[in-house]
Amino acid sequence: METRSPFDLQLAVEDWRNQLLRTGLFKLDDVDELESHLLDELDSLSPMQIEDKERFLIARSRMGRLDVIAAEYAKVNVSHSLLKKLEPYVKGALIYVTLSACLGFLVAGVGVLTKLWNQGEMLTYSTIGSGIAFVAALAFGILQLYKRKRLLKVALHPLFLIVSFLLSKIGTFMIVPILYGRVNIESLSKVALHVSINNLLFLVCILLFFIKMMISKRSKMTTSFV
Amino acid sequence: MAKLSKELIGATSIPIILSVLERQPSYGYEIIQAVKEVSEGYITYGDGTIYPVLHKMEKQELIESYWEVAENGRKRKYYKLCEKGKSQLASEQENWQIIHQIIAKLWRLDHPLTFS
Repeated sequence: METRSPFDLQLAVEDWRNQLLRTGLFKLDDVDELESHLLDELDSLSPMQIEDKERFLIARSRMGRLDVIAAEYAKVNVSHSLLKKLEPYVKGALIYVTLSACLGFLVAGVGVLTKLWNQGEMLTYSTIGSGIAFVAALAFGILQLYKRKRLLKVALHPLFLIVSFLLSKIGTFMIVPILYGRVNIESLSKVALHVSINNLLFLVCILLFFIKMMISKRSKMTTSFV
Repeated sequence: MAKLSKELIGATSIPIILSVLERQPSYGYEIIQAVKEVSEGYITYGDGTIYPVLHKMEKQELIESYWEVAENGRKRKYYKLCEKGKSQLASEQENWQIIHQIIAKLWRLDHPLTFS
């Protein structure tokens, strides 16, 4: 015999609330207010003596379509919605810059140390300075990654960031033999620094592209008050 | 029942909401019900879409909001008229009176109309 699981009204309201939050277009205060409205709607349907599930479905449909509500809120919460949408990309960009800078420092540091090692000047002030800079850069990078373990997971999600990062690194190793005829740590360090600048410019382009996309998306939103 | 255009409802939303809040502070659900009742169903604001309008009015400092716990223990966000909102309402009333008079005159068949 088939048994139906009882409808949990409180859970349904909670789910609806979470749906709103997941859009990232509503502030917590907005969601509280909309939830309060939904509960008022549910109360108004109580005298009809209908099942909780039906009552919830009617109240939810009276609230209106989620995309329409979200679009209306986005008009008011411009800065909030735009920032919320840009947030993962900005985080991704920050991680990208951190990784690029760390790798740049690492390659450049190893290059300097190798050159100085070959010249037999290991114990000069510049050698010690380079070593400290190298270790500090590495420590900074590791610390950032450790502190942003969760952030890294989210931030690197946009595929283009990973692809662009890999392409730029592969590009470094392809450019070196063309420019210098052979691969060695010194030539790698020079190219790594140049590519880091290109990475930064690329990053700015990505951010500008997304800002433009968000603005044009907002202006295309055709919504109604009623 | 003739349906009012969305444009007209949109244009009248601010003076209507200000007028409701002039009587007493209120919350979204109650405002919608009050407007629906007084307009005899001609104006029915979408449940979820009234709040962005209220928030916009709040940003314009026409109204201000505060949370209050209702008798049933539920939290509700109330809106009340600010000084700026009161003067805005007075100005809206004057404007809509003028519009009303113009239209009333034009629609009176016996009213003389001269074209230059």
